[in-house]
Amino acid sequence: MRRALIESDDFCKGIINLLHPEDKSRFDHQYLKPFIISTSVKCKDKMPEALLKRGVVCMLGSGVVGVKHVFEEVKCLTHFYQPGDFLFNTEVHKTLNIQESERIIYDEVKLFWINYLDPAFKRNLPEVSIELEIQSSLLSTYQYQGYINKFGIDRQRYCEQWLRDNPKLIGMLSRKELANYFGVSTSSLQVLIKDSLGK
Amino acid sequence: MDKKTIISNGLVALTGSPEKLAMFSEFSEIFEGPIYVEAGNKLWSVGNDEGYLWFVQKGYGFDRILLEDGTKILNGMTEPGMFICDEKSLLMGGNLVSDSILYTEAVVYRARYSAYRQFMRDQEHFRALLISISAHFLQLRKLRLLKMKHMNKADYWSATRNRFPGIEKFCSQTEIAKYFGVSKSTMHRLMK
Repeated sequence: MRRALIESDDFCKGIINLLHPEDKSRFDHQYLKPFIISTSVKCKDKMPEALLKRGVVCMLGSGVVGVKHVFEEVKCLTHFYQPGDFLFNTEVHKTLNIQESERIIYDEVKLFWINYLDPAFKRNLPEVSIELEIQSSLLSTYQYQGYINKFGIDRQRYCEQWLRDNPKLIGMLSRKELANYFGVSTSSLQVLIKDSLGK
Repeated sequence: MDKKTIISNGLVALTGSPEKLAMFSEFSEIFEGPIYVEAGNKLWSVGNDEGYLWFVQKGYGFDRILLEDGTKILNGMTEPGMFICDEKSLLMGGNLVSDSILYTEAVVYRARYSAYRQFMRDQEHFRALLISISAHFLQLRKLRLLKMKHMNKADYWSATRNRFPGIEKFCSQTEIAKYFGVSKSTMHRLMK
């Protein structure tokens, strides 16, 4: 189960955990604290531009963010970020975003973030800045492999478990969005809901 | 063509850079090769303790990843012009968790992970390009996820078979079904 509340200290430790094991032990997460910014975004509002800059890594402290892409002229939901998840900006890079991916705020969010390319960060923590630049570009791609694996192994089982684990999120999505997220018809969704929740 | 030209061309294609930059040649220097591989051989295997970033000049194959629950699934396909590796090991260290097997003869180049990481640390301008390289692979992953969920499966199978003729000889029906995100019986029906 996910933790209900993420604090800035969790974010600092999480950032250090993104580093390669050979580098983790070289850096103390306490040094990151002066560079952490927290931002809240209301439901349905757009993500602030500052959070979409190159060098920004965010962690969701609370709330829910969904990601939609355009595929065959239809907006499709592929995944959700929940408290504790990292958001990497390659996903929504302005000029490299072929699938027109966008982040939708489903439930008011609190985000912790740093910009490892900010001059002050680079000056004070040059090695961390370099290691984060190397890791975060690769992690954005690696994250998607996880979403693919979840659906590929056993889609039905995954969808049923997801329905059981996310009662609050189900209430925030229309049936059409939920069917779209699972990649099934609305009638198949009814069967999934009945089988997993008995409704 | 020599190693520098071959790998630089690969980077030009990946980054959309209008020309071969000097740092592309420098990057190619960390690779050893050409290495000639016969059909049926593996580039790497689960459990190997030394990881490499590979550039494929010629050859086709597949890689399979061993998940934490013990399931092994088809992860990706190898084609000329691709940079491939065991991503988890590159990012998080530890032994490799995937296999890469070639089903045709191949010509490849390889660079140790340690050489790759050191090059990135030393080359600020190349690091700035990483986002373009990463975005290229990311849009391929997004497309795969979207096709898996939303594309007409008969069309998806037809496109995959055209891209990788003979895929059914090298991968089991179960593996292909998981790659497509469908049940084995649905895959069986599609492949008829």
